[in-house]
Amino acid sequence: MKSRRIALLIVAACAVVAIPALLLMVSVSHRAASPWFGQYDSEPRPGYDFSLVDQDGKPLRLGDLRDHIVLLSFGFTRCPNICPTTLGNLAAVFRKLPPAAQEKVKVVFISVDERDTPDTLKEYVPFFHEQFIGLTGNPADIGATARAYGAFFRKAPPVGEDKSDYMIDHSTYTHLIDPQGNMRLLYRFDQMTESGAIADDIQRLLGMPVPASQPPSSK
Amino acid sequence: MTFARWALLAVAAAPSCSPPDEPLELAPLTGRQIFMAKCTACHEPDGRGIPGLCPPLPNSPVLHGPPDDLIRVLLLGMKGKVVRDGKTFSGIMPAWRFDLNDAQIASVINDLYVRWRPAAPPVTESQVREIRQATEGCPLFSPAPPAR
Repeated sequence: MKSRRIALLIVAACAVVAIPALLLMVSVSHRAASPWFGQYDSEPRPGYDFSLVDQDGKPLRLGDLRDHIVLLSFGFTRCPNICPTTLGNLAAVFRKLPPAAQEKVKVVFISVDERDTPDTLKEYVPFFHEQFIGLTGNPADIGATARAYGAFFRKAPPVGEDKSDYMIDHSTYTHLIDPQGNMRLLYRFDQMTESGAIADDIQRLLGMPVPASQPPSSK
Repeated sequence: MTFARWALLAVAAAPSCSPPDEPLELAPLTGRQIFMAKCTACHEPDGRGIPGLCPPLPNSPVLHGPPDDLIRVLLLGMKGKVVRDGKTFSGIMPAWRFDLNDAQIASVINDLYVRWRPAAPPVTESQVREIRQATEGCPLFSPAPPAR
């Protein structure tokens, strides 16, 4: 009787180890089967139809970019590292695309900094690519847009006595919205250096042939 | 032997998931690895840059100028027009002071020196530390230093 109880305990202990291992294997094989480099949602949801202002002071909604792939990131123009690196990487992705695909892609940078104006963005975004779009808006609209995309931001404490001299902590994901306006893929900051793999995702979504069809090295 | 003993033996013989006895070796990233990860989106792996945005590295006056200027550029970033051989470049370079430590910045510079200025003496971690301290609180994204 006692030995049977011990045996049951051992079987239970093995199950505790084996079931998560099995789930992990299923998850890994599922990821390996994904044709996408970006992280994807199996059921794409409509992207929030923000209404903001571009670097020329003109209103722009997400809906205005329908039929284009939108690569969307949040940041601020005084950002020392994350934003210029992300936008530099997005410019590298853009350059990797053939002209026909470039025409179908919009790179959008939404500033979460109330100090950024359309004029600030007009100076900033061409540092990376003349076709990139910079957006700003009132704090409520920016906040609603960030929340809708799961982006986070908050003012960091001022550096010195000047209260206007502060950084902004913010999330670093780049969102890919498909031509139908659905959130399709998400790229982590560390994935952004893989410009070729991201360009492949874009061309696949556009139904264009992917050069030398390399399997995506999803991380 | 009872079933329970057999089961115990089977579990004991199973491969162990405990960590290895030897500590993991976490080798620091080399200057080339850091360059490839952080710099090539604009500078390209061969340093040729991007027309209109990022000038080529091999003949860069900053790379061939005083090391302190180069260290400052890496720490504070850079923006503004650069004219080289009649061509204008107007990109922006991130400020790496928040991401890279003194040793990493020295190793990136030394990798650039190995490739494009091999006669230059290597930059040391303490040189970077000095410039980091001297530039504390300086505005980021200064214009390119004048050629010296």
